[in-house]
Amino acid sequence: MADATPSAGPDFTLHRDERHRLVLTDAQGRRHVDVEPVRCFPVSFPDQWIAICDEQGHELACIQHLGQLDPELRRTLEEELAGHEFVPVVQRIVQIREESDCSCWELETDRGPVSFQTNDENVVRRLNGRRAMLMDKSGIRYLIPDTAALDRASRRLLEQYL
Amino acid sequence: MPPITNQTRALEPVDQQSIEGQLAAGEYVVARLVTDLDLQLRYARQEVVLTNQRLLAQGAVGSGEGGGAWRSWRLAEIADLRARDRAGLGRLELVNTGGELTQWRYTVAVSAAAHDLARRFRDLRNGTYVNAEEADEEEQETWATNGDARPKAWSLLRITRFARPCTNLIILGVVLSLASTALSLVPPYLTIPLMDKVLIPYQNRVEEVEKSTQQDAAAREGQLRELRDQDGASRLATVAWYLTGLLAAAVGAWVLAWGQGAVMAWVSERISANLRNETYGHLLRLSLEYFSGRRTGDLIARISSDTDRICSYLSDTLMDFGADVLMIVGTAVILFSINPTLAAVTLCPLPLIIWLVYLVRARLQTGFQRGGRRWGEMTSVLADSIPGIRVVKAFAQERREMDRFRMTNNRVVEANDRVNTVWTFFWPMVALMNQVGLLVVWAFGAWRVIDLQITVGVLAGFLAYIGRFYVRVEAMSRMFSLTERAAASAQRLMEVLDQQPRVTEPAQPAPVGRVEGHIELRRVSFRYHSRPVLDNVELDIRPGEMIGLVGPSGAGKTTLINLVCRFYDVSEGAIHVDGTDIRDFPLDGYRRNIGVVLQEPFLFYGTIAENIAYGRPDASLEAIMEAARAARAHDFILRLPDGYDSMVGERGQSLSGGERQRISIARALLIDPRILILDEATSSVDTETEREIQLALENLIQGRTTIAIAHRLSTLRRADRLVVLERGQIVEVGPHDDLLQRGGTYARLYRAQLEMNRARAAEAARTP
Ligand SMILES: Nc1ncnc2c1ncn2[C@@H]1O[C@H](COP(=O)(O)OP(=O)(O)OP(=O)(O)O)[C@@H](O)[C@H]1O
Ligand SMILES: [Mg+2]
Repeated sequence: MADATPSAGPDFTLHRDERHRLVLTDAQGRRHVDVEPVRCFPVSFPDQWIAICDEQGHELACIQHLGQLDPELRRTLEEELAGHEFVPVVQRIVQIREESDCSCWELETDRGPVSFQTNDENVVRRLNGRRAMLMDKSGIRYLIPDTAALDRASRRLLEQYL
Repeated sequence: MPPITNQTRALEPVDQQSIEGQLAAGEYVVARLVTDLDLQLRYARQEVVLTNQRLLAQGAVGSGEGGGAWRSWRLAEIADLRARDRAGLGRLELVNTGGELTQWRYTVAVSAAAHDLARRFRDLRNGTYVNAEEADEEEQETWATNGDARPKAWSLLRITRFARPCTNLIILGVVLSLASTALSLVPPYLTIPLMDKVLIPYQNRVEEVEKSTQQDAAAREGQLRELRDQDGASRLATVAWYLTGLLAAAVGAWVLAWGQGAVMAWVSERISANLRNETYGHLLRLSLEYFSGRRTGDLIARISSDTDRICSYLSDTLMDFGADVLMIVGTAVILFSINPTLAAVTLCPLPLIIWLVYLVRARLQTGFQRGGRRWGEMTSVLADSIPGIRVVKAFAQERREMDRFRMTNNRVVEANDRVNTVWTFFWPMVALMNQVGLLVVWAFGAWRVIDLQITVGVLAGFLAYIGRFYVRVEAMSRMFSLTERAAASAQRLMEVLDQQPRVTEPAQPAPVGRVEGHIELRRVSFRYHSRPVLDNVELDIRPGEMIGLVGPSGAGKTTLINLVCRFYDVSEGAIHVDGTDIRDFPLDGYRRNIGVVLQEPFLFYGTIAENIAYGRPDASLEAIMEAARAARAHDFILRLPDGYDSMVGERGQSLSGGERQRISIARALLIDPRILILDEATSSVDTETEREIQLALENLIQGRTTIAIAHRLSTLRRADRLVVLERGQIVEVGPHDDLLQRGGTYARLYRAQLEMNRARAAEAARTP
């Protein structure tokens, strides 16, 4: 267990081994195989504070900002993160049907059209800036990077829930 | 100071003269007590006075004991004097040097004064008695602030305070409404000449023509045509003018009424929002003591539904009030100017209506107040059972909760039914009177017309006015019941606004920056109302020292830290931080120095990051993570799907007990406090995690004054000194090793835990 607080600067190296696992070598030269990057603030600040955790979920290192890393390392990390994440970006809200106990949303996203049901009254979570996030019954999140950038019809639909 | 009820006040005026007469030269009153029971526990007043030389007591007034004669004991004659309370009843016992017992009995209402008297006696005896005058003054003040009860009907007027920011708009609204009312008075006035000068003369002429040309049909035909073409045409033009005037007045009244409605809706929305803000803001400033005696649901109802009721009252009704009054007065004036006798007849029902109003007023007032209270009770049941839903389900008590709710709900219906019958009777009654009034006017008017005293036009105009007049009278009587309802709501809000926080801001606050953390408890005693919890606690905590507070459940540990946090003020004694009485610090400045982890960790609806940063909303992400790491919360947070952005749900219900605790530790650490208070901070984490938190805390405790409460004594190994509290008193103080050697309470507790752990370990070893 890393007792010392992991520092922000990258005093470690990351690479993939022959079996495509992510390996972290720390400042003392210890190798940790099959580590996993985790965003600490995936919703509010997705690009800041990426923790690298071992298999048990203990933090080994923490990166303050993805932008600080050299491009090679950054790509590896982003690749790895992308493999864990599924957050479709909403491009258009086609329609919202209100049923007695839930609402049914039909969206067009960057990953294709989707429709889902939710019975949560706070489906839409307002984030910092003009970002917003939808969450469906099964916990899948849909990101709206800029509510003002949506088309008029979508905005009007969304407004009722904000 | 525990609350002193009005009852005590009522008992207070024992005449000062008789005591003064008893005092010798150089003797002054140290404490006074007016007991409220005699030895048979019947209500009776009896005075006990402690002076710097003697204890004086007057036989009970109104009972056979001594009949008002004074008895006295010199201080040296008194072997013991103490006050003891039990279940709302207290006794003051005096044992003299001869072993003789004298008793006085009293209710909780005066128990604080009784304890005070006994304490001051001990102080006198030990020679530690100081500044009696000052303390007396303080008491007087408490009484003074407690006694003002304002008449209820005025509550609504006090709302004007919240209307002040909108004064200009309100004036605009009033002007608009008056103008629209004035305009609406015009049309009937125009109908009188329309009939009397235009239509009726024309008709008369037609009749004349018909009379004069009875035989000759052709001539009649011709004359009538002529009349129609000349006189009729010109008259039609006049009619058109009058109608245009009528239409213009109607349209004008409509536009103005619309403007007035919009303005008033806007204003009343602002006023009630203002009212809500103010009430909630005031509520937040009140001390814990207030909340411990209140029901959440009732407070929520006051802030939400009562303000809403006032809002709709203001926008729907109040503005019309001015208009109604103007209308009624205006109509009356016009009517009198047209025909005084007819006017007098018209206004007949008015006194009757006023008498009716007088009759139902009191009933409506109490009725609406009852309704409001019951509504509060109903929301209280909700606010009680919804957060406790897990207990409800665990004990399968859904039906019972449903019944409980149904019962309070029925009580709401029942209360409303009662006032509804009153006002539903009231309105139609007013309407009936108006109808009768109309008939009377018709009858009287017809008679006058036949008598040739008035014209048909005047009668028609009268009837048109009266229609409006009665509509307004009805509206006003309707408004009257709504006013009573709004007044009841206003009253409930004012009850909150009139509360003064018991923990007060000092008049001249001492500057407080970052304190050193030297805490002294000087002869601190504390009572919850009349229930003594802490007794004469003396403790000096050095800056940076860690104190472990141990003792059986209910000993008063949490109470002690409540006092240090100044959630409550001490009943006697004082708490000094860095040599200044904490009552002299501004509250928020002082509390900013304290980080607390409460026994029941409470999280707010929001994300984990927001909860950790609760005491320092501007904290950087790094600082938040640092605090979480120190509280050993970081790893489990990263395992949540949204990391620090995960929502914790209301009261943090989506987290486990131990997780909640660690978040609340992180929250306390983030503000980097000088004084750290941990009340059972690690009671719901496993021993492994606890050890980790301990390790982390070790760094953090450096340089901070820490008071840690724990039942698991192993948690307190690091404490510089342990303080053992038992039944509100400190029984032992010292480092772990010393206390073990002394073989007192602590040693006993420690051994018991050790044995239990061993037994458990042995058990565990045997089972596999
Ligand atoms: N708000 C209150 N009103 C009246 N009595 C109270 C109030 N809070 C606590 N008490 C009483 O004061 C006594 C001391 O309570 P306190 O919470 O200080 O105990 P404690 O030592 O912290 O116990 P524990 O170890 O169980 O937490 C108890 O007998 C309790 O019933
Ligand atoms: Mg406690």
